[in-house]
Amino acid sequence: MTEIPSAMRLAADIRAGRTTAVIAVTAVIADIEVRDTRINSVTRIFGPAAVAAAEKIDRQIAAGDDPGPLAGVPFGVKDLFDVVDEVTTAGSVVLRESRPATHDATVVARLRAAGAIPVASLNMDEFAYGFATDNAHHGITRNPHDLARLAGGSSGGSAAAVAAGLMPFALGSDTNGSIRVPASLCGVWGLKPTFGTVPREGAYPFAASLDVVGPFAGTLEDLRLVYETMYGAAMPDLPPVGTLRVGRLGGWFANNVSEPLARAIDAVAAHLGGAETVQLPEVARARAASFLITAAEGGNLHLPRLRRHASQYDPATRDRLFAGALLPATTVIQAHRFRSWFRTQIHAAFRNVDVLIAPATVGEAPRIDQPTIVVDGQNVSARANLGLYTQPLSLAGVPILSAPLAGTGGLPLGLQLVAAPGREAALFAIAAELERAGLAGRVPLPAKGR
Amino acid sequence: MSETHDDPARAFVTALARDIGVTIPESCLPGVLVNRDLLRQYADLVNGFALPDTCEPAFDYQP
Repeated sequence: MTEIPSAMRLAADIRAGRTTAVIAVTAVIADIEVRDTRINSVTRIFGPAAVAAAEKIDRQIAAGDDPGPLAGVPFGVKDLFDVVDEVTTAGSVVLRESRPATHDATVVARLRAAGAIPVASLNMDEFAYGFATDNAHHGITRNPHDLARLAGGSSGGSAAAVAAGLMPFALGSDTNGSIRVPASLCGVWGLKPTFGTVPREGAYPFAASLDVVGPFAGTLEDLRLVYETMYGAAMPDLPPVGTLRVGRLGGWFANNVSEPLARAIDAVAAHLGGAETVQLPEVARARAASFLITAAEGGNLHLPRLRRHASQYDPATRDRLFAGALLPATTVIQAHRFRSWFRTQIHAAFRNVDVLIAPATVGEAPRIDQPTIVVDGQNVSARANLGLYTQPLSLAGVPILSAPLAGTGGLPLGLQLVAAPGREAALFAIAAELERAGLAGRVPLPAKGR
Repeated sequence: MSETHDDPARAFVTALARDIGVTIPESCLPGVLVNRDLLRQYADLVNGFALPDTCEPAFDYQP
């Protein structure tokens, strides 16, 4: 099976009558059934509903109506987005007896209104608590670039499905790095929009103070179109790259980086004019505050169910949630006060630069049979620590585009492009320049992975 | 790890859990204690930072 084309190309073909939505959707479903057995990115296929939606798109086109810019394009959703008539499980058996959703999540509805068709729910860490997509109920999602390696998480099913070419785009959520980490390890584009700007209605929460929903895509053009559809409006014109001041995060973000990743970031920085090093203060505390807020809010959210159904949770998730629920109020309040302080520091940094660059992870995807990374010379759990560079920035709520680095010659590596709140256009401008220069772009699968 | 998870540690966590109306199953206690230790390290970092009295919590955070 040839990988599915980009969303924009597929929609153009469907709108022009060169193919149909039904052909596109049925081909994707057939491809999932054949190829996803090795990757395990999909938890459920919305077969009949997806085909019915495709038939409706084809009827609209036949009648001369315009179904929208994503006409007939199949996509997947992390299994925490409501899709009408489907049960949203958030990757857990704890919610499997819940009533089916009566409405689509707002972002799903917006994509559907643009012609796109949800075809599958995608694997995730249970309740989004992890960086591995190692799910006790649905199994582990494997990295399409090397099936012996992690896809990253918690939106690992979304990243892996796009990386494998099963679908042109997918939806995920990012609380501490759950879009950026798997996008990086799977070699696809991902976007964590500015906190609070893309609606979360109908997305099962994790830590409401930090949760953001966003897209994964195989091309930068698709990422932009899907983001704008989710956001509900087009971005302003992208600023000329030459007008943007680019800085490179140092200190915390320069420690523990693998050699190949450091070299790739050097090349990006050189291409962007040198990228002066920027030091953010108190990054370790920012990561700690993000960790604590997440644990406390996740623990609070799940406490009623933990009282009744603790045994149904993945033990690793359950124990973290219990511990979070026990955090003292003063610690959680201090973390929120620190967040206010850190916000001031971030805004100060963006007075001197427009875009900051930083690694997304310490290096390539860890092996499944050795799920650790090296931090400060110690082997530590990948599930808990892959967000080393993403968690501190989550606290600030700023927009971050995860760019797959091109031409590194090995497994995928990713770069975080970080901007001031609401400046997504600056991120897309820099990303487009890196793509044009051959420094960023979806990492092709090895021949045996296709 | 800074704590050996002896009976007093277990008893403390059990009492904390009782305060919020939850009984942590005995089989879960070791995992909860490990995670509590980890969170306490992060709490020490955040609580060890002096903030001005005028720095308010970011409960309704606007980036």
